[in-house]
Amino acid sequence: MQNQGNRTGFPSSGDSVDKQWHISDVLLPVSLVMWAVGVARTDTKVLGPYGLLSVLPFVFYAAIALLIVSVTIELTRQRLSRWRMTAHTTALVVMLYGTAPIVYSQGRYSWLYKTIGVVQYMGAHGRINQQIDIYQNWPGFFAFAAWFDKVAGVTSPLAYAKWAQLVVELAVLPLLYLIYEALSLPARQRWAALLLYSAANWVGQDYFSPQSLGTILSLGSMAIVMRWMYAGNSWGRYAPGRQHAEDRFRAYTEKQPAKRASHLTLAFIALIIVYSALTYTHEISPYIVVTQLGALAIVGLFRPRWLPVALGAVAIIYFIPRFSYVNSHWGVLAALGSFFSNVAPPSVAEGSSSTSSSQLIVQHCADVLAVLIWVLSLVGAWLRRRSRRTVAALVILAYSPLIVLVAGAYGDEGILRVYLFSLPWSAALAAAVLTPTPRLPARSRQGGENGASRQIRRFRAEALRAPIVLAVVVALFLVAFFGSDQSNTMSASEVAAVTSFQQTAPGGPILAADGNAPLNDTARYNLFPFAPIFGSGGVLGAKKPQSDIALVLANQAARYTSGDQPAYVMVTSAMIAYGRAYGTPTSYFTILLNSLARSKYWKLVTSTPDAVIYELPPKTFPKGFSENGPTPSFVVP
Amino acid sequence: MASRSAEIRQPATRQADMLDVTAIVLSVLLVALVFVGWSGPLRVLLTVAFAFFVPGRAIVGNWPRMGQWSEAATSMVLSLAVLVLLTTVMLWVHAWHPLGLFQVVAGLSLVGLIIGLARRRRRTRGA
Repeated sequence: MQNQGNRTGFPSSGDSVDKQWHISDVLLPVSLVMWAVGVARTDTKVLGPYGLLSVLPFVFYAAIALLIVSVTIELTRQRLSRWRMTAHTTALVVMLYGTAPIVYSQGRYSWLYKTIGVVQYMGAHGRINQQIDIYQNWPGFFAFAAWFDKVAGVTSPLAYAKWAQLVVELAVLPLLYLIYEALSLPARQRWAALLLYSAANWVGQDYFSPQSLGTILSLGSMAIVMRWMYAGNSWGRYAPGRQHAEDRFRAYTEKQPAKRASHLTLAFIALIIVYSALTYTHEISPYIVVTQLGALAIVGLFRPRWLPVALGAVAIIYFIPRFSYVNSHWGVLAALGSFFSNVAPPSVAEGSSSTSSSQLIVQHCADVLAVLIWVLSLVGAWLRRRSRRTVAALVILAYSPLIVLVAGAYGDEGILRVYLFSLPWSAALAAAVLTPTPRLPARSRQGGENGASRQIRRFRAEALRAPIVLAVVVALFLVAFFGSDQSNTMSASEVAAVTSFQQTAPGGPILAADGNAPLNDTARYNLFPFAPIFGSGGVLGAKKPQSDIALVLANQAARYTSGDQPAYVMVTSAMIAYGRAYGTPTSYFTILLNSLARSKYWKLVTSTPDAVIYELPPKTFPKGFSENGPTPSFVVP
Repeated sequence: MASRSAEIRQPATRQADMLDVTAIVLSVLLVALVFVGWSGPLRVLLTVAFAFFVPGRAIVGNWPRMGQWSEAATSMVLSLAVLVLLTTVMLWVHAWHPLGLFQVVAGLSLVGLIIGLARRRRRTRGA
């Protein structure tokens, strides 16, 4: 019973607590101070084509480099210090995910604001309306967030939503550690996997959203499963004689079947609670979890085998009443079986041939990072192929999420979700490439003093892999994560103008230059359906706007409203930034704004440096109006 | 053997007790802030801590085997899951009383935490 484990979620098998002085005790605080200085010196008023990257000072990058050096030194130690590794991993997450909420006054991503609107709706109305949108059909996250707002005493999630990425990434660390421990990965590999996971999660699904809560609940489900129901073996016995805590528990409970049954029953109850919450929270996550568990069960690495079927039944029973809505809006049946088109990421699906070169580079960096992690995971699987069942389990868990792409594209985000769900397991495998071979103590003893020295030198040389791989991964992450911030960020005045407008204006359709704006962040979000003007799927499509565009838009809007309600045109600075990045010339916006200013039908209702909104009042039928003709397809986004 | 086992358990028991006491303090502070209607960053932070920890801690504190495996991470997942389920059910049944739910959850959590503390004390004394 020498190793009871750390009971806070970072158990200690293979780690140690030593009281010696380490060089990282200096390097880590210095890197944090440098990061703080870098963040304090960052001026985000004018972002370049590479977003935040171009305005972050040198000291910021130096801080991250120093952190990588420091954590690498820690990783090369023969006995890892649990608390130092915890501190380094936490510091990396804070540096990567804490920078944006500090340097920007508002949350990134236009799609964040819609989720805020749904939370506001549920908080204000205290009920759901399943006909409005898909979010109201999976209300778990929104109900929780609306409850949170009331208890926290805030009027809108705008007050804190920008911090969600940092909170979520910190929250997943102990869960991942538990999973890696349950798989009996060596401590060095667990920490390397945590670092890789944090440094490679560029997808941005961890913002204030159902999928971020879904990530925590999914990993929570997997942690319970891996601890209590995983039927694989341990990852190699690199420290002979040491018995892992879970092995002791298995041995103990095998002698006492009644106790085992009792613990398993409680674990089932916990799993059902967590999985049910996941089912009500996110559309896809429960199916990916079931797919992963089902794949494990098929090869006998998971018991009882009926459990994935039972969990799948929970998700399907919940889905059946919602099927017709989802199919009519998202084409589930049409996408069924179209694996290769479902694989296409959003950047490809947008199909813009005039995307700026900077954004193409950003997209390529994201793609390279994903491919790099998957390639490293395969190399890691090969290196550790002798620990058969654990490697098999990790490979299955890493690649089985691909199966869900057979069922749909999920709004062209399917491949991103697959990457997200693959990452914990891919990172665990890839970590095997970063970490030195974990057989040192046994071999050292066999080889005597010289053998031990040779082994230690080899161990240190192998450890060079870690800083190199980590540096490459972090560099790609920074480009992928911050490189699009020119269009991903919203100014405070833009958010205030759009929010104020949607809180007070009579409901009506909005023709927006494009969808990149803090739209629909109020409880009245469903009263403002939206259609884009420019870009693919826009009212004008790729056509250049003419000077009479205001008249064209007025006719189309009047056709949609039949004069019963107002219609609006909205142009904001984030839309212009998005257009610049993805191929809509700034001149198009100028033509639109000039035409609106001259129009006798459109009335200016909001004008700030970052947002301009025009209104077509009810009962306004412009010149040449006819009920026949093209009508925009407005949707609550 | 019994005294050795008790010695080993002591740090773990102290840690579990500390987590329980932290959860109790968090709950009491947040209940007080909500009661007096005070708003601000402190209340937001306390709500984050409550939502991510307290209800789950009340469950894990009474489930020694789960607690021995993981005190904090499992508490977090169970807290979030329980709150998601309860708030979603409130919406479905058209009984939206977020502050009422908070008072009930905080009250039940305090009871669970105190029972968990007491049971652990009894076990420690019996070891």
